[in-house]
Amino acid sequence: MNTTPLSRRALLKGAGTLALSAAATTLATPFIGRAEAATLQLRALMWEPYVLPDMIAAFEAEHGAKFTTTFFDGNSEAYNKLKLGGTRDFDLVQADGFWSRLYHREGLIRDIDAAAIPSLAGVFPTFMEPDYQLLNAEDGGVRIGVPFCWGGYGITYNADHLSEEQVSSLEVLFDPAHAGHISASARFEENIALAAILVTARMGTQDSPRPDGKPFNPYVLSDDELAGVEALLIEQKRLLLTRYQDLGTLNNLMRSGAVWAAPEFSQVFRQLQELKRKGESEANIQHKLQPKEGGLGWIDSWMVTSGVEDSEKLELCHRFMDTILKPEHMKTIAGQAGTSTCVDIRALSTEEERELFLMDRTAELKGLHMFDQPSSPEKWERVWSNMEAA
Amino acid sequence: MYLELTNLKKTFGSFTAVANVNLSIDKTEFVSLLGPSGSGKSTLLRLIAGLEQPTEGRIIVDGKDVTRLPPYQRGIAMVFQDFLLFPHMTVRENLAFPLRMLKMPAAEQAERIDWVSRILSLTELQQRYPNQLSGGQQQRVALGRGLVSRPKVLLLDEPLANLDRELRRDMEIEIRRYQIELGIPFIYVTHNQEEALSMSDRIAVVNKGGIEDFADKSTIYSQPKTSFIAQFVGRSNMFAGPVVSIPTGARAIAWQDLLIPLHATGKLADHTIASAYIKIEDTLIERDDGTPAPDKIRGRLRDVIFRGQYAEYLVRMPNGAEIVASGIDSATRVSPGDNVLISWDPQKLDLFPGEVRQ
Amino acid sequence: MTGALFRRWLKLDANHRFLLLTAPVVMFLLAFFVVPLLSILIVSLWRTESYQLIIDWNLDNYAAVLTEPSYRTFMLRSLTSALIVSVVCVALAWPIAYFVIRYGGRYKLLLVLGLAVPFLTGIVLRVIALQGVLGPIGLLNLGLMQLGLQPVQSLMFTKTATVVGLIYLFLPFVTTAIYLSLLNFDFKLLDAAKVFGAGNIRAFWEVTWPLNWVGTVIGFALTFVPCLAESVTPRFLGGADGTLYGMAMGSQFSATGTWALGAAMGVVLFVVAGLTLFAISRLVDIKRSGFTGAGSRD
Repeated sequence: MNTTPLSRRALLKGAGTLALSAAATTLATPFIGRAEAATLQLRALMWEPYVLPDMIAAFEAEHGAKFTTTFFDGNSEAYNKLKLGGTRDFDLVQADGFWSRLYHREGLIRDIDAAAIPSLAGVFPTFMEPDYQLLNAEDGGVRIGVPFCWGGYGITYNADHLSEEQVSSLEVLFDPAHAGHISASARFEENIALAAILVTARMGTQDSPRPDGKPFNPYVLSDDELAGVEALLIEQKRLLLTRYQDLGTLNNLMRSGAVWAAPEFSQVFRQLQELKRKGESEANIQHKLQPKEGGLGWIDSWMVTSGVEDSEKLELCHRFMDTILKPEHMKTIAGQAGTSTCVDIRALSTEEERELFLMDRTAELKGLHMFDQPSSPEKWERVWSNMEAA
Repeated sequence: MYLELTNLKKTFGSFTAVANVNLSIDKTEFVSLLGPSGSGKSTLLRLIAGLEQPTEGRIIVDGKDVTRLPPYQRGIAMVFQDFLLFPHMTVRENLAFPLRMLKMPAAEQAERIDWVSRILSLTELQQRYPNQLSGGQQQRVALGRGLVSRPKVLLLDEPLANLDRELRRDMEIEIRRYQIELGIPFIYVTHNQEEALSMSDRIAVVNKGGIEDFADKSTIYSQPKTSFIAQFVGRSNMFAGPVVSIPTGARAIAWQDLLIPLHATGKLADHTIASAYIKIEDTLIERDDGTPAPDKIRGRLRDVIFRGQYAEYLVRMPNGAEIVASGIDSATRVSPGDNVLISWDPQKLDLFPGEVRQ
Repeated sequence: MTGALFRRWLKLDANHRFLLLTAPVVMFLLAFFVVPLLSILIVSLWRTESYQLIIDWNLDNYAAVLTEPSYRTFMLRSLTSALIVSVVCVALAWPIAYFVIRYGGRYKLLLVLGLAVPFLTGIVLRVIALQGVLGPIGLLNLGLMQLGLQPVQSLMFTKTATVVGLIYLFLPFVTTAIYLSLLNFDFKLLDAAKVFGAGNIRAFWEVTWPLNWVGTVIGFALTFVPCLAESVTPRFLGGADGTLYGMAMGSQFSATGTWALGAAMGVVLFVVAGLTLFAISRLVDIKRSGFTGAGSRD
């Protein structure tokens, strides 16, 4: 992860022009016959930075199976793949936050047996029931996935230009005083959700009755709130130096001092801390996980698709999840992907790493709003287009 | 004179394309620049046209020094070897091009185009594009484009090279007729001596960037001034070798193992190398009936090439060399395999000192 | 075995042979052109709801694309930048191609191949390389600062940067198109033009330009049409306010999951590009193009 400037969250969908043909290919997918697997295969639909070649090789040797991977960027992409018959193309799938329950509701994934995955014992309690419910089915409470990595969408900032006081509020990302020194990602969902947290805080509607009758979720917004978000994002556009498309760009912009504040998954923060420790960068880059109005967070998970029916395949899936959740592998993941892990690897880590990867701060996750599906992608798309065209 | 080239020289790097050319051409003359390819004749034409700048020398047209003038201010027109009609313009537009460049009023343009279309029979073709024309038609358009502005001089760069034989003969006559009608000099570049001989008043033989001779066409043909001309113009048998005295007191060229008697040796001393040429039509052939003929050369007729009004006889000498004679077929009555005698009038032998230039 | 096949081939009549020979081509076109286009067309008449395609025949997507100011803005931005890029590319490519043809000598081919060198890398890499040149701490600004001058902040992350990037990306295409055109152009025609009274500049406009008009138009179209759909360059260089039509369209598929709307945007783009090509083709009079012209034969 440290070597590649692109992350799964950077949404480097380079071939935007190819989107049409991509869509067409996807459409055609259900009509194409699937070859039956001749040997025992484990097919994963996953995020690319999480591939551990050594672990996979050992796993294949031990179980005499073949592990194949397909990568995706945003949750909606994986979701659409599964919806279009992908449950028979994939055995394992990854998702964030609320998405796992959506998959389960729609019958895309199946329940799993926690007892078959001893490594779950190493997971921080924060990510297990009763603290964290999203990997259990809404009705029966049966386990539908295992937690894997976690993180926030906090503000990475240059401490030479901004005080901790300033970045304690989301207002810092919308303050004309910092015009030209702010950046944001190109993801429409998280931009809108983050702006929504500020807008609802300003409007005081976070604690009012919500459209879905549930507690406040920045992915479920009233039309008034969406209008407020649109106005806020249009204001913010003039203040942005650019929307970063990949972590490499944000890394450069923050290191050079061109950008002072940007919301991100804390990977650039970790990269620049590392450089500073090595003496290769002077920029004093810090990260604010949770602004006072609220923040966004995510927990990546592994799940088994509903296409896995025979017990032999299910057993192999359990074995895979158990293997990858072992602390030594999670340690490698943290180093490689720059993400915090849901498994307690403090015993394997230095003091610096404990701080850098927020290992003692897992409890803060409770205050973060989990990544979710926009209540209406159609309405959100219009908000985003109006902002871009404004 | 109407067109004068003085000490004209053109070099490309270390290569001399045109070397010290002096030519004076009269207003009513048809002059051919005849030479092999690469002799510099086309460069000479391009210098006159202004498409190349001379390294040295002057060009005077109608009393005006045009040496430093760009092509479009010289009042000279040109017909190119591959026609170079503008493919995106109709015939009429091609013909109008030189007139448009002269900013001639439209009415006058139409008049000129009508005139040139009439004399070249282009009226029916005016709306066609060049790629819809036959080779001969394209040639006439190219000629028309050259004549339409009534230039002071018309340059023609091998304009018939791309036409077939029959068409070429007709065009030769036509071109000569236009020159006489218009009363301007035509300078005609060609490597084809028949074209040069049939149309020109005078011919300049060009070789290695220089003029070998510039003279009346009959002089060029029958009294070649240099061995190059003797070799290049007409078809001749050549005998080259050291000059020797023979018992009769005359001299001869020792060619292979034969002695070729010379009529006049001029200042040629014994043992100097010389070459002698006799045109094939001056080379006589007769059946060898065994009577002694000391002045004639014996050989065996190898083949007869029938050319219509005359025939060429290829005669092999005992030494293996070959001599060509031409004559009226019915008059000779020899057939391949016959022993024959070859002779000529020694006065018609052209003699040049020095090595033979191949 | 092959002999038996051949005998069976000989027994077929002309119609069957034609079918057999054209079948692969037809299948290819169907699979990679007609079917995708048709599926786009069909999807554009459906709607999406929370990442689900719903078969509900309607024209709302077209209504949105054609009436919502935002999509019109994207289209206008794309048309404007495509026009600027194409015109500038043609203006730059002409002297480059002309110089290579006239003075390239035996290095002609090498020089033209040199234009293709950036293509050895992907488009993303090339755009990122441009970031390195134009960026706030890019080569250009570092150079300016070395000279003691103020860095230019406005070069990066602006619509201008997108246009510069697109020119850089498409210049080789236009140059190649014009180069190939000039390669087939008979420069001796210029001699004729000059002898018949045209100066150098006049000869260019009278002969060189019209006879290379088709090549120029092809180069223009090769730039204009892909520029309309271009999404990578504005994404990386255009900044927050530089969204172009192709970029907005791409995000319908990759981010927002509003496929039906994206498909409608695609169909509209297809129509606009088609109309552009049609308009451009009207600029060409094939009879006056000089193709198979007698003047160009050797």
